[in-house]
Amino acid sequence: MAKSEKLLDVRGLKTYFDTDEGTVKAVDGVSFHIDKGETLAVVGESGSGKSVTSLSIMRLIPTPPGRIAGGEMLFNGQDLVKKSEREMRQIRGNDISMIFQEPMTSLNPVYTVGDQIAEAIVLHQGKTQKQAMKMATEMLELVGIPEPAKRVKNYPHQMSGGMRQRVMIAMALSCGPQLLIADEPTTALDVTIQAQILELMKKLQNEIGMSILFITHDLGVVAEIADRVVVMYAGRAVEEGDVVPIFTKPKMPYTMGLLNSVPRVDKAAVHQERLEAIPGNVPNPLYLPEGCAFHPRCKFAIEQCKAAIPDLVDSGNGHMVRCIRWDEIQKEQAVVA
Amino acid sequence: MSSMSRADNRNPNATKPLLEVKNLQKYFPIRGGVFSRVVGNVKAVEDVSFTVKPGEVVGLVGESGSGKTTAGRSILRLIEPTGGEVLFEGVDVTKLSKNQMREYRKEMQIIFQDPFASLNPRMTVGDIIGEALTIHRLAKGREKEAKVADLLERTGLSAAHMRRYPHEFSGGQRQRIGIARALAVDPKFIVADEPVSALDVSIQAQVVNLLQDLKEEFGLTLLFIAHDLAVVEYISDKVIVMYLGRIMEIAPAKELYANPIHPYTEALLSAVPIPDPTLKRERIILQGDIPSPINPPSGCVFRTRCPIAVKECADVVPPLEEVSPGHFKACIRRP
Ligand SMILES: Nc1ncnc2c1ncn2[C@@H]1O[C@H](COP(=O)(O)OP(=O)(O)OP(=O)(O)O)[C@@H](O)[C@H]1O
Ligand SMILES: Nc1ncnc2c1ncn2[C@@H]1O[C@H](COP(=O)(O)OP(=O)(O)O)[C@@H](O)[C@H]1O
Ligand code: SF4
Ligand code: SF4
Ligand SMILES: [Mg+2]
Ligand SMILES: [Mg+2]
Repeated sequence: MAKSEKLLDVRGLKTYFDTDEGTVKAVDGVSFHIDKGETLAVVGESGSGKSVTSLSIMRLIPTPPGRIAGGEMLFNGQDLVKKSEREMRQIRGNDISMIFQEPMTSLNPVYTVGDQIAEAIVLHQGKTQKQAMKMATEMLELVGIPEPAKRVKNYPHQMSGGMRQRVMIAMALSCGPQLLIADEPTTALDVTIQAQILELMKKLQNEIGMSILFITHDLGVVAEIADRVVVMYAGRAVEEGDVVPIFTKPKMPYTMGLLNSVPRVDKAAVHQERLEAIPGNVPNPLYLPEGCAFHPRCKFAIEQCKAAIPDLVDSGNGHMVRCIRWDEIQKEQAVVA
Repeated sequence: MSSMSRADNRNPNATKPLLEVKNLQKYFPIRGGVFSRVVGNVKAVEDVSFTVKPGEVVGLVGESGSGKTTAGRSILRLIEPTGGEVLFEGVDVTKLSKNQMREYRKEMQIIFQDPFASLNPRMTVGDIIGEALTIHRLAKGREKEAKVADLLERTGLSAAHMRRYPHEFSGGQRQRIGIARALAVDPKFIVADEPVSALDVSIQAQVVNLLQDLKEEFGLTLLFIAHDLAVVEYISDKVIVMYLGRIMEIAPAKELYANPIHPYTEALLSAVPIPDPTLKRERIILQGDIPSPINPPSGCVFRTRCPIAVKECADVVPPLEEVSPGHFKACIRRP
């Protein structure tokens, strides 16, 4: 086996849902890897397959209707697809943990937050209830909750959204995971609270050294937190690379379009009068366009784009692009500039 | 279309405000005990005053719970304000009877955040858009149908969509339907409460552009409520920053973003993530959360989170002072 720092290596993952109307190919051949200690952001619009990707890694896809239809997910070299439910439970409690967009739905309203964090510690680390409660208080302190000894006795509804997300982070980190999957953890929060949570996640990653898979639809958040980025569209990765080249030299027309369509506060004084919107709608997953799924919305599309699904190719330095015209487009852009 | 005659609303010399909000207040009583007595109040809007000129787009921003929606709904009298005045073309609509109010309802419309929840799933798109025309007896039969078709085309849909139902449309398209419905009765004033917040980034841009086009075309006057400061900057002529039921700062849009005066505005702007990983910024990270509006802090309501607060900030509520033409701030420490 090749020696590498890869913590997770997802290869050709396919996750399908069999519905009454047909098979939804929610994730259709997605590949990416996460190195030890790095933050990989997965960005895309709603329905692009971000959450299904993360739930697949956790093996939490509801079956039926869902199923992992192909691919492998090597975690420390071992394929998660082949693990039994019992083995997965072990991995979920100890090696990989996950936080979600809406902390309220993942916290139990009838137990105090202390009890909930302690329960996980007792279950997975074999501590006594008393030791676990002490650790729970320390975890709350670690995630920056004021007066942790008091707050540990609070019920979730007695806390604000930002505090509940801190509790979720405390719970997720209590087992000392190697990988933290965060699915839109700041989407429901105010920008001020989002800034606090992002700061906290960066700090904790520095201290603990875990890897983070950060899922978001917000390019601003990606720029802030990611080392590398995967851009998803209609169930496929369409561009992948280090964060700076993805933002400064995007090569896939969809990524370019997304970057142009976001209004920016720092461009206040110089902004143009109109945003460059991407025309059309996000495609219906049951009726994906033939060939490149982005072609009906792509201003660079040609007849050939409809012929076959473009491969994800290395455009140099590991900057991956799924577009048959990326090279030409780049030259065109250079002429325009 | 009769609304075209309103293009002159955009005349910059038209200084007479269309809307004047004076000391608006809205408390929600909290009841408790066996007799369901009022034991306290949620002071959602404490003291809000501002003006909107004809043809102007005014942005309203602030964290969740700062009172934006409550202010917007009180102005339209979708909820009854507790105090203050709302002068629409000089008439205080808060004093009007239900009957008198009907005439004003047509002039003041609302666009909602959630394009999924705000459209009746059992009505066709044509009926949804045409409903207000019938209620206000503005058009019927062929004339109504022509008007609806025209609105659909103008909002980037097509006349053929008239007979379809809301579930057949995407989020962005439903928001267009919501906009067409608000425009149907040629209102003079529209409150748009987070109209693009629920939409995907690429679709958000489409709807922002549409609103901008309609602003030009219809001379729309808009109160645009949003979380997203970047979107607000794009569409607004003037921006109001609210916190805990009060106004912290008002300024022409460009000026507010280039030159924020209030520490709260500064912090809000600094928290907005910018899609540029090469940018190194000094962040102001506010500590804690917005306090409860049941017992807001004395003096300056922002003082519990303000990085530059001093003892005096607890004593009096800072007045909203004009520092340069059209630029107002409520802070005793920032000149
Ligand atoms: N019907 C109600 N009864 C009691 N309290 C209410 C009611 N409606 C709103 N509030 C409270 O009033 C305050 C202001 O609410 P409002 O919805 O106006 O805020 P907002 O600025 O629009 O927030 P958001 O950004 O979350 O939409 C909040 O504390 C809210 O909980
Ligand atoms: N339980 C399910 N049954 C059927 N389809 C599903 C299910 N969960 C997700 N999908 C579909 O899979 C696609 C990807 O969804 P998701 O990963 O949640 O997107 P997002 O990128 O917004 O997180 C969508 O088309 C969604 O409707
Ligand atoms: S393959 Fe064609 S349609 Fe797809 S992104 Fe490239 S140019 Fe556009
Ligand atoms: S008045 Fe005081 S607390 Fe309020 S914003 Fe100014 S300095 Fe801060
Ligand atoms: Mg999701
Ligand atoms: Mg609101």
